[in-house]
Amino acid sequence: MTTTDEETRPTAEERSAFEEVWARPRGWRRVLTSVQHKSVGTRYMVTAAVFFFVGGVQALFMRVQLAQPEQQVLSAQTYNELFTMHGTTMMFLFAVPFLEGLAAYLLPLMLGARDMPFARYNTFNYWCYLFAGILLYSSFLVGMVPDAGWFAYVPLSGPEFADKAMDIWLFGLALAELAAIGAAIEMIVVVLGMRAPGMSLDRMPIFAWTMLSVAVMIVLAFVPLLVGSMLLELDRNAGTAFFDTERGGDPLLWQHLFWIFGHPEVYVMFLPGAAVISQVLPVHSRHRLVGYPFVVAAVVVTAIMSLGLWVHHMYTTGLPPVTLSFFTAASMSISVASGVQVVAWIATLWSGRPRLTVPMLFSLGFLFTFVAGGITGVMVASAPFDAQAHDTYFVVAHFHYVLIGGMLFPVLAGLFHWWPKFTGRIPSARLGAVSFWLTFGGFHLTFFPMHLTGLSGMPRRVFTYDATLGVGLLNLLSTVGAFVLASGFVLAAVTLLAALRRGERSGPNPWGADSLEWAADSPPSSPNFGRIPVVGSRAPLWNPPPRDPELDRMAAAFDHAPQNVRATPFTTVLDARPSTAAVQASPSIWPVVTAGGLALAFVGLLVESAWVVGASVLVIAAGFVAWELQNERELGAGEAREPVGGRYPVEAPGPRSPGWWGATAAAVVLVVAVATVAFSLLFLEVNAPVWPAGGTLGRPWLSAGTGLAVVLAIAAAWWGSRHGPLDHAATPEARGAHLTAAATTGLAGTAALVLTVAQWVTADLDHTTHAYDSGVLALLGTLGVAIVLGLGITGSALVARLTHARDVRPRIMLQNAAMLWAGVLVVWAIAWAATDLVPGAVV
Amino acid sequence: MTAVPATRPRTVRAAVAAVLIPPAAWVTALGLSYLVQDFACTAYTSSGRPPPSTVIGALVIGLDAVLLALTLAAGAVAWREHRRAAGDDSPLTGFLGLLGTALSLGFAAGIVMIAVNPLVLEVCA
Amino acid sequence: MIDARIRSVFPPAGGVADRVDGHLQLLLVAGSVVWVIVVTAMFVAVLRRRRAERTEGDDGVPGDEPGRGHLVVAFLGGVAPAVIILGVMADSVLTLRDTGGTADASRAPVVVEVDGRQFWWEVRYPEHDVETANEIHIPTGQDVRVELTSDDVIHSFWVPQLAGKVDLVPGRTNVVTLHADEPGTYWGRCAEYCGLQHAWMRFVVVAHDEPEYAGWLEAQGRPAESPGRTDDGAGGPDGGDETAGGARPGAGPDTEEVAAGREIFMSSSCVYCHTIAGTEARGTLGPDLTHLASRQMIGAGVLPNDRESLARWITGPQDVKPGNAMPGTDLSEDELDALITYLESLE
Repeated sequence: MTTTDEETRPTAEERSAFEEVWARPRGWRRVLTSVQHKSVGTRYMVTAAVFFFVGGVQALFMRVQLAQPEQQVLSAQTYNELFTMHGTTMMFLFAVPFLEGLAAYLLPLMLGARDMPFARYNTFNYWCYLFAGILLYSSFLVGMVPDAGWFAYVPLSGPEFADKAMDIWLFGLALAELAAIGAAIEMIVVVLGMRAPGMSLDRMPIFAWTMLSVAVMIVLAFVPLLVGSMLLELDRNAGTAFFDTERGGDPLLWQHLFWIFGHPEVYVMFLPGAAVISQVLPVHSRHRLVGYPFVVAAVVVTAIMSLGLWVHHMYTTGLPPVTLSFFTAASMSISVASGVQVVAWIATLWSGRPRLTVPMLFSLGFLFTFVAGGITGVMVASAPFDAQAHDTYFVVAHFHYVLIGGMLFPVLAGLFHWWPKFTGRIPSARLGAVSFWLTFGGFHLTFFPMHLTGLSGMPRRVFTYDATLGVGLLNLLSTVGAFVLASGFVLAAVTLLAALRRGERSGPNPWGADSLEWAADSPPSSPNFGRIPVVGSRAPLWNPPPRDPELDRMAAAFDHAPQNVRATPFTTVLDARPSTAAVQASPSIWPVVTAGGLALAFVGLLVESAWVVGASVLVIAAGFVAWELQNERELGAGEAREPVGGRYPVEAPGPRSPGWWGATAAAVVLVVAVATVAFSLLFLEVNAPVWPAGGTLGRPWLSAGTGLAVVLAIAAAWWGSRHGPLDHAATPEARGAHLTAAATTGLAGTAALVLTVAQWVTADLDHTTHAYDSGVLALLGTLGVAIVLGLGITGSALVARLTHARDVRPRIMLQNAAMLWAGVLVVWAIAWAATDLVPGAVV
Repeated sequence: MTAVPATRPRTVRAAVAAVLIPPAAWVTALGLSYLVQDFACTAYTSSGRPPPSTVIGALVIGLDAVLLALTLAAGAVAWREHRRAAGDDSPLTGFLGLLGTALSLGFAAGIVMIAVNPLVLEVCA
Repeated sequence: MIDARIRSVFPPAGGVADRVDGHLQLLLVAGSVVWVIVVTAMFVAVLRRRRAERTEGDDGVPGDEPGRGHLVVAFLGGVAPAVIILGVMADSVLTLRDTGGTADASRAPVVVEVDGRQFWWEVRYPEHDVETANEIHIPTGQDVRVELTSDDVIHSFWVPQLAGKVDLVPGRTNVVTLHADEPGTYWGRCAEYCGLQHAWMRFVVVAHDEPEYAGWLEAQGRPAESPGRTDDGAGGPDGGDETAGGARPGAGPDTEEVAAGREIFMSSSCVYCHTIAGTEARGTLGPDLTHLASRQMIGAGVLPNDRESLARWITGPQDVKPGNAMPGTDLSEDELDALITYLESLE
């Protein structure tokens, strides 16, 4: 165990072999197959910037229409389409994806890793997002632009009042949400497992803490929207009754599901913005962030409390006062957490020596603006005040203060801050400062008057207003401001792009910053770090490296190594001690194929062509199978692969490899999904005036059989995962055990699927008659989808067994399958409780 | 076989638990307060029976009180670990202890703000 | 014309809006003070003069100094805002207690049913068998219980000077309490996006003192003077105080033109959608026109109620307000004149 203790520098051949394994593909192959986090992150950010431009132009059109009372520049129809697409674009196609891209680019660098944990899945998510954007904007080509608002309240978005434009919107949304949930799983795993040796939780950058919190929020909050949009789609095209009051449904259910997503969404945008400030402001103040533990606490409090604010979008729907007040309490509590962050930033400025660089200017602009938006946020959090301000321009002003002030200014601060890292060039400080003053001035000129416009009685989402309202001047100011603001954004973009050619060349760390991304080259090489840095403090570049032989051993083992496979250190969750080596994916064509198949499926559903849908299913299936085969082939290639540095196994069971975390996260996603459906059913049951009496599914034996089959699947997979040695050896007994386990799991899962379908068929339910029937079938459907996913991962385990000689990989895959099947069991339990236990108990 | 240290697992585990409990308690407090109050009142109203406001209110406050106690207990443990860690020179535990203390206080305040509502407002209006 | 300020949240004119106004002022003042303090602190933090000994070289960065910084962040950032928030929350809950409860029938002697339609308001007085559209008349000094329903999409009922918004949700009956201290006209509108013409879904609340209100109710309860027959000898309505179209064709028996206009109305498709009490027109899809001439606006606020506007509306409703449910009617100029004269007689 001491052989690697002495430092042996890698030889030139080793270095070039290392670079070879990390080589980027070239030409068109690079476009379609690159999976590296920097290229994926860049694509996210560039694509999002394009959508930001489009959404911004839409806003300018709206401002022109509203510049004077009763203008006719746009028709009511066009205006309604524009505000719908502006909101949809900015939320789903710009803000969240941009931040995911920033995180995909920065997190591995900041944490000292070489790539995201599941790089191909990461790429798949990007393609899903891109196709979602294309799908949504194809609505302009076919002349069916969504016009029900970005919140799409039923019944206005329901089958009776909206045409196919709404289906385009729902499918585009579903695809974008799928991408966001996937990105969240990536972020959770990279932050928890792939930190540089020594970067214990208390030394983690605030940005990493924040993206971890945000990722948890996404899993808990975006899944309900995904489910909600599927329920609405079923109502629209399959005749279910979730939102139809005539048949036991309730339009308010949509509002609950939408805002359970919608409010956390706001913090999904703001928290990363704040995190960028927490990274940028200390560097340009030359002082560490004051009150780090409290800032972490504030981030966690904000993330958690954001999950409990959603009813404050529903203050006027006629809920009882005490319900409103619970959520007023939550909405107001959350502002204390923002107070902590604001004071921490000001204290940092106070203690340090701030330099008025461009990133600093945007940070100060952020503080100035965001605090105002936060305060109006406290105001609208108050239910009685909100009854006046709700759905007026006061709210428009409020959330633009929070989103532009709280997310866009930080993004610009971050872009100017990290541009040298991204491109190796420093953008012009002078042009940057001009762009700051234009955006800052333009922003306040646009949005400050809107507070007054709103209190003067002008509601949102109106294509015009009459002169007697007396808000013509205020609106004119807003319109002028909007153009100033737009010019500021354009100048910022020009400044950044011009720097690509003309900017001063930057070294690795032009700002003298503290976090690990500044230890990499500018721009970073494909593997980011030839030698992985070790961390002994919260500001690793401002403090001497730790003297810890255990950490140094890991750094030495990974010094330009391994050279036969892409890999990065995997460390323990709490204190980031060396654990194993995580394999990182190489370029692959299959993510884009599979995502394309998925998009094609939605297109097929939209044009109602069974052929297209059928073809897309084949593409998806083929894509996933080829993807899995490629995974296993590559992992199997180094059959005799030694542990890295003789010490860190390339794969290990349990939480010591990324797969376990991925399977756990997938199980959680399934559970959240079924919990959402169960909540919906319960909500409808208590709110409907008439509900089928004694409404239980009433198939106890089939239901129990399903549960039992799932238990058997878990047990078999678990049993199989206990067999076989952990090193690179292969034993016939283990092989037999794995095959038996995979086969048993597969059979049990198939039985569970058959029993679920049997419940569906025999249950004597018609999903079109009543929301109860629709809900029960949705629960069974969710269970069915969960079981299919379980079968999928079981199939992967089987493929792993068949393609590998050594035993550890099939072991791990069976263990992951067991994790996912455990999730399926919880899904089954919740579904059973909602269909039989609760109705039975109530009766 | 690998270099996974097994140092001071007990205190770290206590500190981690103290970090995780307050958020979970707050979510539970809000969720249960809302579900119990809104769903119970609505269920009674939908079925045309007068809802037992006092009972529902008391139930909500009782649930919140239990969760508040849990949150504060987690805070006490976290503070103890924080103080202890200062002596042991284990910065991670110290940090988690301080984090847990801050979370406990923040979420405790949040639970109190939720729980007072049934005292002031009519539970089933 | 109507005072511009009259549609603002300020000044409130009674009831819920009055109570909320105090809360609103508190929020505005407290919020502004906090903002000024924070931004001042930020500027001072950036611009304050540093003592020489705190100057570090470009790579000298102060290390971790938890003590004082932690206390500042915890107390100024956590405890101080929490105290302010608790105060604001208390005021919010108390305001909600005073305003949020639905007025029960005993407390609110007047009940009005309002049904939101794309894109207009049907208004009914169930105790008096009165039906009208886009105008709610209420007595001053009393709580009025407005019961809100919708059969199509979600709308939201908002009279800024009298009360906050309450949504009209299909499948539910929501309630808002209106209370006007002074007689006058208060503007209201739909505040929840409800489709193409959401912008033009307005109404007015007209508050009368008690006797005037009783007179209005009584007049509305009867058919207009000349709805169907010439010998309808009803007395003139004494409550028509603020009628916009002043040209009323004498309270006597039918003129020829009115009769002709009635004939056109009854023989065209108008009757399928509109009701005029006392005639065979019994349609329910569009607004009740029994007392059309007594209303201030047509098309839910899109046009004033005068001859010219009526002509524009009847011939081209889809040009004036695209997407509303009314089809255009093809009429010769004479027919149109007669029809409008008839409609203007419906007072």
